[in-house]
Amino acid sequence: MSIVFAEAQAPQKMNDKDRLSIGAWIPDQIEGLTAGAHNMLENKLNQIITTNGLNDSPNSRFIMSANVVVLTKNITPTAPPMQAFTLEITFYIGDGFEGKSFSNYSTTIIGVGENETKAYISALRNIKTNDPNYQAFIDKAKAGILAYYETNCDFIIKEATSLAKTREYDAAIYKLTSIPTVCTSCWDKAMNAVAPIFQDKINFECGVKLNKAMNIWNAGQSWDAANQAGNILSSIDPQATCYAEVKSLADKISKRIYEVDKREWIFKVDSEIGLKRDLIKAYRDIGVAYGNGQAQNIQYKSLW
Amino acid sequence: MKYKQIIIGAIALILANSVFSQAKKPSLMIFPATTWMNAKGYYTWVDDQGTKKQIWDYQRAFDTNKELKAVITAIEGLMVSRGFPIENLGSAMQSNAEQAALNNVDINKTGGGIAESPRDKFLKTAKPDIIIEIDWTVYREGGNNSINLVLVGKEAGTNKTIATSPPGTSQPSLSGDLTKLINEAILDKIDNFNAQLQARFDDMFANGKEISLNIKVWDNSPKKLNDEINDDGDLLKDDLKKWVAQNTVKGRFTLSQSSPNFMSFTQVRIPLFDADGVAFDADAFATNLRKYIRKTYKIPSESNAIGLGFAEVVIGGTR
Repeated sequence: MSIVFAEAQAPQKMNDKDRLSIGAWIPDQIEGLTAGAHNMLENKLNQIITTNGLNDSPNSRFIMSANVVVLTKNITPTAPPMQAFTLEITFYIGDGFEGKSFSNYSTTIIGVGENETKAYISALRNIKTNDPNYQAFIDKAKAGILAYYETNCDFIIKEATSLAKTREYDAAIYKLTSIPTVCTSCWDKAMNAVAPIFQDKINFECGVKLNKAMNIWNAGQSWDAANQAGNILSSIDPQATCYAEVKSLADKISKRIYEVDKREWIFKVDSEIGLKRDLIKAYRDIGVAYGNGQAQNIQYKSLW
Repeated sequence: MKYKQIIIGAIALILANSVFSQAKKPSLMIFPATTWMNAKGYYTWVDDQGTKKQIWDYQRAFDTNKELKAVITAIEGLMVSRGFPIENLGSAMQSNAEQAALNNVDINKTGGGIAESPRDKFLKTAKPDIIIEIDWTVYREGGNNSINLVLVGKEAGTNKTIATSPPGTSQPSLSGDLTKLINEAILDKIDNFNAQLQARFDDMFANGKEISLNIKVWDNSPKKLNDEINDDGDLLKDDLKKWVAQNTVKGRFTLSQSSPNFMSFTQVRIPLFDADGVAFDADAFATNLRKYIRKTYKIPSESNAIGLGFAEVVIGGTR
């Protein structure tokens, strides 16, 4: 997923398109498309996405896909035999999770080679990544994506809230931070919704980590145990409700180490987790990490 | 008197050969016949949009069949010794493959590659003017061995069969050496075969070289072949037909197909030399037609030739 931060990027006014993320996806079952040709076609889609001002995002909900249909095929009895294909390639942009297309555009390509794979690759090489006809196709898709968020905003927030209730905080934050900033009203609602979920997340993690650190310390009460426990305590967000107990345990460890070893043990607070920071960046980082981990679980549906 | 006639005839023959040697010589190439390829299994099946089609694997045949190499080498040697230069099919395919690879890796200082359209790739095959198809069967009965060798010469530009070897199996031989058997079979037939080829070349000298011409139209051409060109009701294709008649030897051609978008001329006899005495071929003929169309109708066209025997003009634009 990708999110653009208006705060980080201000004062520049960003183009709407720059904020939309689309991933390239080619289904396996396309006529005549071998592995080599499949990879080439996917690469072409990635190029079209970035050349036309969109963000290329592999795990995005919204995808650009393509279907290839053979219009004509000619095989000559020459030495060597040659195969010539005229292919119609139709590009689609839509919701990959729902299998719903917002926009499509077709063009014809020709390829020649000594076998089918070479002919396909020859044809795919002729796909222009800067065809001006892509503009209308992408603009229509963009309108579809924006309309999707406007229509489904409350439902998305409700889904995220449900995930948070089952302690799937990262999934909930990922869902809310996937909303493009260009959908301003939905984006605002999502940011309002994500704040309490984030708080619940850090509170929950505080309890878990504090417990773990306590167990490690109680089991060892040595310099090494202190460092292990300290590392865990350092990763706890200071905004968590149990942070007072974190500081209390840290003090206890420090006192004990001095009593036993006559050494000074210092509890290090992670400077990244400061009192004042970019919360939206924090939400985004959680969402990105979650999204990257889901790559292998994403099952797109065909757009045609 | 008789001696005078002989001398005059000899001088004429020498002159004819001399003149013909300056004309563009047709290229000859030996192909294994599809019947032989089929019998030996040098093919694969492909699906051609619902129809199963055989495609011949000449490269595998050349790479793996020693008998084929022996037969072709023997025939090539005999043809060359009789003044018929032959291009080798295996070498031609290898050369095309090397050229294709070279085009793929060639790049200029500004990052440009070699321009190559799908049509260019499509035509990167062995394209001789005359194909000599060969097929043979070896018979081994007891100690007697013989070969039935078949040679067929076809003109690529006109699809005409211009020479065939006399039918029949070679004399039985006790030799089991395939090369020796082949040489005996070839020697038995090659002169008759070559005589037919030569007769074709002689006819070419006397009556013009025979080519085929296709005239096509781009779909965005400003004019189609059935557009009127004057108040008399003449169509563009009428004028083009008149041009072909005026520019062929003795006005000899056959218009085999005609439609608003396509004209096909066969048995078109073009001179061996142009007005300046320069060797003339199908490409030059197509070029002249293209220029005529440009000058007369102000329409750009594309002209090209495939080998020496096939010309094409596409009206209404360029590639």
